[in-house]
Formats: sequence, C-alpha cells, structure tokens
Amino acid sequence: MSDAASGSVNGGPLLSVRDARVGFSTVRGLLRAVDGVSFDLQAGRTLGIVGESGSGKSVLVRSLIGLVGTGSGAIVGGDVRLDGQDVRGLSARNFRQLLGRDIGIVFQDPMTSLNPVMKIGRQIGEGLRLNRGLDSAAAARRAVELLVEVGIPEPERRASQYPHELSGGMRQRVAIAIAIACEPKLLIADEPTTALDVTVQRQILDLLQREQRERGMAMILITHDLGVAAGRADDIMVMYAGRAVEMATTREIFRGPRMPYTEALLRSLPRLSDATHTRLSAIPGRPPDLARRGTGCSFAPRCAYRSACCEAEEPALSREGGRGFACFHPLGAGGGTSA
Amino acid sequence: MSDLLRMTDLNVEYPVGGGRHVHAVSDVTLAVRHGETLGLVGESGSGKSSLARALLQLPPPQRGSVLFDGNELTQMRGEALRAVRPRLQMIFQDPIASLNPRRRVAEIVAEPLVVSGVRDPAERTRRVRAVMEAVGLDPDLVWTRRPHEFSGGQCQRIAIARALVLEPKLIVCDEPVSALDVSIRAQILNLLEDMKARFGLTLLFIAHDLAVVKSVSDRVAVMYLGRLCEVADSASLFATPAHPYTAALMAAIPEPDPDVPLGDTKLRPGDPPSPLDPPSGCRFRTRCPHAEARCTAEVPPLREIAPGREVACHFPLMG
Amino acid sequence: MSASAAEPATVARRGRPISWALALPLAWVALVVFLAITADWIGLPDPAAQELILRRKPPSAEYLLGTDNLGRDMLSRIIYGGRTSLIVGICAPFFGFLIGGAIGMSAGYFRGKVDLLAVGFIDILLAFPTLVLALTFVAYLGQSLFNVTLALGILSIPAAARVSRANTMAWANRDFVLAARTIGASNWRILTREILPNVLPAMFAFWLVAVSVIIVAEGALSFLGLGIPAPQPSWGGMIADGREALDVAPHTALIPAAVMFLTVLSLNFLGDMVRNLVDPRRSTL
Repeated sequence: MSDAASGSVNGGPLLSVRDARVGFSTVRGLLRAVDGVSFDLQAGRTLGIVGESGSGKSVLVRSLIGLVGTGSGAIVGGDVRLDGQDVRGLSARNFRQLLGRDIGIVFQDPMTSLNPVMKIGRQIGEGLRLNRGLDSAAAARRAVELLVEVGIPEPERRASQYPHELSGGMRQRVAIAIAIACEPKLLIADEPTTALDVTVQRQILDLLQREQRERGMAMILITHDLGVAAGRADDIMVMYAGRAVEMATTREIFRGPRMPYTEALLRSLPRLSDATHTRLSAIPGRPPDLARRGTGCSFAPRCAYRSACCEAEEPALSREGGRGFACFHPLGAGGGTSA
Repeated sequence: MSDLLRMTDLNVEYPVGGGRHVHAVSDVTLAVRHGETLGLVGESGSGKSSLARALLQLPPPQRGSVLFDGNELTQMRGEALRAVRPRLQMIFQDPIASLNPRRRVAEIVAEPLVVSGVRDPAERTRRVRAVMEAVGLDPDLVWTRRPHEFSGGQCQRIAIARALVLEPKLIVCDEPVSALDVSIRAQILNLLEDMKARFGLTLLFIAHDLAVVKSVSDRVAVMYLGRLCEVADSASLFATPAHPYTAALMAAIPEPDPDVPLGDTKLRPGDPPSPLDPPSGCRFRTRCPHAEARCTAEVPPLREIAPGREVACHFPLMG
Repeated sequence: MSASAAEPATVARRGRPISWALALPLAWVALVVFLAITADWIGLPDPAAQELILRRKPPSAEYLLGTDNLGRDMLSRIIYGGRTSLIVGICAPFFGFLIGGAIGMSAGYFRGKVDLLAVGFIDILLAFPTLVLALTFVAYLGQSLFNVTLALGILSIPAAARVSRANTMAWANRDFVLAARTIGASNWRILTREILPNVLPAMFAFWLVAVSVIIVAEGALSFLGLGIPAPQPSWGGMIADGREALDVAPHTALIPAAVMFLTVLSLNFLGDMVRNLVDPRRSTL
C-alpha cells in the first residue's frame, strides 16, 4: 500500500460526495442522469465505478470536476468535498486551480483528449507552468522525466512530436503523464483503456496502478468491464440508471453481491474458465429510459426477484457494515427470496 | 465434415498514397466447415474485418481464392455473384449504423427479399414476420418504426433478422456484440446460438474478446497483423495455446474475478507494429519473448503440429 | 421473453414547439407564395397599365403601395414581380440541384475517375465569376424568363454538387450501405433507396438557401437591365427603376427592396430551421 505523504489533512476521506445530482432538460422532460449518489474515497485507494451506458457513471464524475453544465442545460446538485474543502462553493478561478493542482484526469479516447496541434512536451508541461509555476525550461525537463516514467522510449524525441505521430497506447501514456504531472491527490480515469487493444490495455492499467501506488493518489476508475474492475479496484460502486445500487469492496462484490443486478451481471458474463457453448444466463429487457422514470426500483422490470413493493417504491441505499445496497430483497445473508 | 467455405492464400492490401500499402491480410488459408462456428480472434490491425469483407468480395481480395458452397467467388461478377449472395450474409459491429435510418424496420428486413426477386408482397410479409418472431421481435410493434427508436440490442436483432430472411448458409458476424451493453451481450449471443441451431447455420464469428469467442466457437483462429497464428478447436486452444501470441492474449485478459491474479503476458515492451510496415519474417517477433534469428529471416508457415491444430511459429509452445 | 419495441410515445416525437423564429418567416413566405399564385384572381390592376398623371404617388387608399415612375400600381407590380422572382428562384435552383445533385452523388459514391471528372467540372464552373457568367449567358441568348432561369440554374450546379458529394461520401461509408451490397442490391438501388433518402434533407435545407440567393441574383440581373425584360415586373427591375426617383419618391425603390429583403431573410431562417431539424435526429443515432 502507499506510504507517500499525500493523505488527506484531517484523516477523513479525501473525496466526499453527498447526494450528487445531474439533470438535463430535454423535450421529453427532465432526464435524471445522476439521481442522488453519495460516496467517500480514502487517499491511496481505488474506487471502481462500474455501470453500463446510461448508468450515469461518466456524467457523475464529470459533474464532480465541473465538466458538465456549461450551456447544455444541465442542472447539477449535491455536495462535493476534496480534502475537506467544499468544491462547489469555490469561485471559478479557485476551482480551476484546484482542478489543475489536485485532480488529474485521463479520458477514454487519447485521439481527442490531446491537442493535435501542440507538441507532446509542451502539453505535459502546460499544467506545470500554470499550476506549479515552473518556467518553460524546467517544465520541459520535467516533461521528459515524466515521459520516461510512463514508459515512452526516446523521450526527448517524442517530446517534440505531435500526437498523431504516436500510437494509441503511447498517446494514452502521454495522457497519463499529463494527468500526474502536477502530482495530484486524486486521479480520475474514465474508461482509460476501452479504446485500446487488450494487450496494450494491460500495460496501461499496470502503469496507472503503479503510478497510483508510488504517489499515494486516490483513484477513481470508471469502467464497464468487470474484469478490469476486479483486478484494479479496491472498492466498487455499481451504478444503474443514475443511482448507486451497490457499494462494497471488490471481493465482497464478486464473492457475494447483494444486489440482484450485480449478481445477474456477473452471471451473464462469458468467462474463459467456462466450457465452450455454455449457455449464458442473460438479463431480460434493457436499461430504462432515464427521462421516463416511474416509481419503484429502476431494475425491477428485469429483476428475477421482484415483488409488488419493488414496483411501488424506490429502495434507498441501506448500509450494512461498510457495504451499501439499494434493494428490498438483497441477496445473501437475510435476503434473496424470490417474488 | 466438409468445408462450406475455403479461403486459400487470401491477400488484401489497401493503397494509402505515396506508393505504400497496408498489408491487411497476408496469405491466409483457412476453412470453415459445415455447421460449425469458427471464431476469428485478433486485435486492431489484425486484418480480421478486412478478411470478412474480402470473403464477401466487398471489395474482392487482391490475390487468393474464396471457394464457397462450390462457387469460386473471386471469379464471379454481376448476376452470378448476386445469385450466390443470399447464401452468404453478414452482421456488423455497430447495429444502429448497419440500418438505414430513413427506412422502416419492415422495409429493412424485407429488402433482401425484394432484391432477390420475391415479388409477392404477401409472401414477403409472411417471411418477414416469421423471421422477426424468430429473433424475438414483436412484428406488430416494430413494423413501421425506424431504427433510431430502438436500442442497440434491438437493432442487432433487426440486423440478424435481415441476415436470416434469405435463409443463408453462412453468416459472418463481425464483432456483433462489442458495441452492446454488457447486460445485453448475453441475450444476443444466446440468440445467435439459437438461430444457428434452428436454421442449421454456419457462423464465422469475429471478435477481439476471447471469452466471447470461446463461448460460441467450435474452432478458433487467431490472427496477428494480417497473418494466421494458430487454428485449433476451442477447448484445446484455450487449454494449451501453442502460439506465443495466443498465450499473451489470454494472459492479458482481465478475468472478472479478484482472486485470479493478473497473468503475465511476457510481451516485450513496445508498441504493436503498424500494418503499413510489418516486420519481416514472423510479424510477431518484435514482441515475442522467444524470438530468435530465424524468426526475422523466415516467415513461419502454418503447419499442423497435432490433429486439428495448426500453428505458424518456428518455436511453438507445444508439439 | 420478447425484447419488444420501445414504448408508444417514443424518442422520435417530432413535436417541437413552434417558435416565433419559425412562425414569422413561414408566414411571410406563405403569403408571398399565396399572392404569387392567386395574383390573377384577386382583382389586381394591370401591372403594366400606365397612368402618367398619377406617377410617383405615395401610398394611398386607392394605390396601397403607391405608384411608380410610370404611374403603374406598385402593389400589383410587387405581387406580379414576386411571381417572377419566385418562379426563377424556385425553378433555377431546382434544376441546378437536380443536375448538381446527380453529379455530386455519382462522384461521392463511385469515387475514382468519376469523382475526378465531376470535381474538375465543378471547379471549372466555379472559376467563372458568377454574375459575369450569368450576364454573358443572358446577353448572348437573349433576355427572357426561361433564359434567366436557365443561366441561374446552371450557376447553382456547383454548390449543389458539392453538398451532395460531401453528404454522399459520408453516408456511403456507413455499414447499412455495405449491408445493402451484401444482399446483392445494384448500385442504382443503393443510390436511390439507401443513400438518396439520407442526403435529401441536407440538400433541401441547402436548396432553401439557394432560393434566396437566386432571388437576389435575379434581382441583380434585372437591376443591371439584363434580367427579365420590361414590362414584366420583377423586384430587381423595380429597384432599378426607382433609383432615379430616390429623392422625390423613395417608396418606388425602397418598397421592392424591403420586400426582397424580408423574403430572403425568411428563406434563410427557414433553411436554418430545416437544417436544425435534420441534424439532431442524426445525432441521436
């Protein structure tokens, strides 16, 4: 585990989110992309946020760092504290400083997350110049050091190249270098390997994990790939239709999920350990339309364990010894009865 | 079992200006047997999608032969080729993009019938309804709708219905579930297996996800940078991979189980080479942990090292 | 288990609330079109009838928009002039888009030599200064409604070809076109049934803008005296006539100018609206 000094100042969680909400007004009504999500993240730990398209995982994290809501008619709510400091209440300038210094972000598509007309070295150094006050020469030197650290060979040559001269895997390494350049406390990786080949994926995830451990950063890893979450996350938050439906450590989630959705998802995955032509246990139906939320649990139409109360009322997130789940009929100890 | 489709020395190249070519597929010889599902695995740049399109002559390959159901497709043009097409169909990766957004679902599924000359509208309606029900769509609910009103999974069902309506013998599935949500994938994979059993289909299943491929395939072929690495039956391939690339692929895949340790791919560090300028000899040698001088000099031929197992490697991991 | 279709009230609802930005331009264009069609039946005075005694009279009860230099009724001339402008404005780009659209679609679909030829042809057409070409054409072939329409139609071919080519190229790469090939559809069938329906909305939006451009172009030609010959009224011609009397009877020039301005503005607005209607639907795919 980490022994670096970037833990939070007061011993509480590094990141604390309460009742995060994001809504978009559309012609069809209010689309509640994120509907009241709360979680904590301790320094040095990795939180995997797992969900499918429409679950709200990307929108949630982007709203935390202020990337949602400008001009798109989005309504953002909730309380976000980084190291005890209220993020939402900051002035625009202070928020930008916080973002630049303490939060690093790696996006999914390195093709579009890098500036195509700026040299690599300069892009890495930009944050250092703006947030750490380095001059150009010092920033350039540090950029080369960072390129070495993320495993790019011939770093001096690469530093004066443009993004299109690099392969996808290398571009993502550069994106990681940019994210960690200012030594942030929190690293956010939004589907960082989805656009990459599986052999490159492994290398990038190894790199992310290594950097996180060496610097003692907290990391939020957003992914739809349960395999990635299993191998890299300490804790997992499962999202469905804009809400957090289950939260636990990775082992607890995979060994004994309490939410029927989580269990059904795990059961529906094809695994290398299965024999060929094993019939997959599919989840019927499909994820709900977020603009048309009825009453009741959003997973109920697809749930094998549903009952009348599931359709009437939305279950709140109940806590049980560090775990959280939103279900009237949780599986495992004390639950799991069929409708 | 006899071969339904046999490709021999297939080569696909694309010019990219400046006299350079992308060697998308190089000297691939592979057969698909009647009634089996052959999985074709590879990462980006492996050439698997180019191979699929070359099989359907869209466009035809630069060199090589494609023998399908007794017809040499590369020699056929115009009407003759069109007459064979109903027997060889394809499903695509992006289900929504594979449907014309301006047309109604019923028209989309009926189009193959119209093109192949089924004149009677009542007959067409009957067949379209039948195939829609087979794939789990309610004809009355979807008939007049347009693709953008549906989710990815439903669009893929529509695409599968379209592929089935002509009663083909072989369906090439080009990454049919990669663009779908995880919770929908199992539905579509089960559907494909059901359709295969019900209509006696043969499938060429292309994917980059090994677990998905293993789940549906009888035999598996692995491609790297345009060449075949290994062909074997599913169980053997995954139990004991013979080609170092296959082993690396399997080790790289994160298993959804926190207690399974991350495998060691043993790949030499560095980026995959580009198909514009593939390495000489064995194309995998720049990342292979076992590469030697011979690998640079000689292209390893695809040879049989055990019954039903072919490998293109000078130093295979077994045999 | 049946993975059946979406709920009845689906994503595809087209009901956007009609905003003033849409209603006003639409109303104006509708009015102009309506009057142009019904001009003969609403009892307008003869637009060519001169009453020299009553020349340059400002708007009054009898002459709602006043009279022009030769004592002709302005209202009547505006409406008949509108008919001329609309005929040219609609037919010329229609003709141009038909031909240009076909050229562009062929170029965008077949690529290769066809594309090279088409692009070359378009570039040549574009190299000529637009108005000069139109002037030459009309001066050589003679002034008439037909010739003016033909000249302006030919000049709208390049723009149409470019738009249709770009759109065709974008759509031709989509998987559903490949799917159509896999079932053995002929090129003609693919072009007409798969690609054309998708290219048409963008072309229509652009055509609306082209109409307004052609109306102005016709106005310019008439202003220069090389458009529709007298006594057939046209807005450009009326502006030209009114130029002489700007100090004593400004309405003779300003009224046709204002009418042309409003019409072109409305068409541009409508063109934007149509483009907005087309694009968001594509983005939901």
